[in-house]
Amino acid sequence: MRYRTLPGYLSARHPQYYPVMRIVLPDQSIRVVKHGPCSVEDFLISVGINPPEVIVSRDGTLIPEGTLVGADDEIRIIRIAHGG
Amino acid sequence: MGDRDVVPTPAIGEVPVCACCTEPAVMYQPVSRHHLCREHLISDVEERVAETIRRTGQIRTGDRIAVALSGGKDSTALLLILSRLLGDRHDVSLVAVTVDEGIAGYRTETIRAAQDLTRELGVEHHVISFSALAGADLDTLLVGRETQACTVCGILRRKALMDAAGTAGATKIATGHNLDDEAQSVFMNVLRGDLPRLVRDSGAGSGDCFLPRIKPLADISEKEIASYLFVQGRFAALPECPYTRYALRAEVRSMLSSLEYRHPGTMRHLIESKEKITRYCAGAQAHGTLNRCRECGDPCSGEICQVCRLRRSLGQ
Repeated sequence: MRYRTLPGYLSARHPQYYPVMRIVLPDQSIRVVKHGPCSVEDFLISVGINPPEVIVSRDGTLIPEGTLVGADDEIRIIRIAHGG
Repeated sequence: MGDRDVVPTPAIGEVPVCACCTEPAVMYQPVSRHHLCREHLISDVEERVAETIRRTGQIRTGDRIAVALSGGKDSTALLLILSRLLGDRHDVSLVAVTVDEGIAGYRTETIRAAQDLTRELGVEHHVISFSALAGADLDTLLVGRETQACTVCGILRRKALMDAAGTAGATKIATGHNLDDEAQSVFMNVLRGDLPRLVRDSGAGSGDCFLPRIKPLADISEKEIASYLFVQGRFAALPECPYTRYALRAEVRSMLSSLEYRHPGTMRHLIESKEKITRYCAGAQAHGTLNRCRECGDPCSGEICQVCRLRRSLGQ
């Protein structure tokens, strides 16, 4: 599997640079995560959300669950199931 | 943990790269084990829908396809994809049909979305309401019987769709059922022990009785559809149907998506099982005979159709 480093992230290599991350949950509540970076998938599991039931965006861009997210990121978790 | 692949965790700031190019990925497909970027996600979804249509012969020359357009994500994606795939064909036409069940706080927004989309795509649009069909909206019909919401709604919605599609001159009805919906239906029919419904082929039609139904999104997962719309700026966070909590489907959906996460391919395997059972049952009398309703003349399996039975139970 190949990865690509996005511009703006190169200088931040230590968890201390990632003290706060804003997570917008499906019910629109906001959780601020103060610990170090984690993968989107790990975060979803930790808050009891099943990954196939949501899509996740970072600063408005859709990201795969394996992506590691950190400081200054606004992560939005969007529930995809509607209807009956 | 199950048999899900353990995807290596990237370094901070790194995002997985598309399997087809060097662009950042927007989605991981656990079954194919591919990451896809925006452009390749869009083309992958559209090509797989085109392949489903080709493989099953769902759309033929002369067809007028009535797209059941609720305005939610699945039907929105369906109309978008069909209008792109069929836009250049002069031998096939599209019309959109929306059923207004009359569910307060839920349907108004999705109908507006449906109207906006059909206007943008230049697709003829028909709206039919439960009030016109059954004399009252769903909220009124369900007072004191909320737990039967999906049954009542399903019966009336099928009838409304059929009537509106017939009025629009359609030859087939296309619905936005996706891979998750199909797998859920298989599992629910197994849980209910309903073999006739399990092996029923709604795409075949029934002579001159029913318009055949086609499901072009049946190979696309719910998450792929949501992602497909999101990357095009077309995913709207619409309200959830207030009656969903009464439905068996809600429990089955939750259970199957957990299984799909831990064992990718579970939903597809369920559908393949259904297809095998259907082949084994070919020629057997699982479907029963088709009659005409004694009261309204619509096709039905007994003497009175479900809509007339429902009307009776509602005292109409």
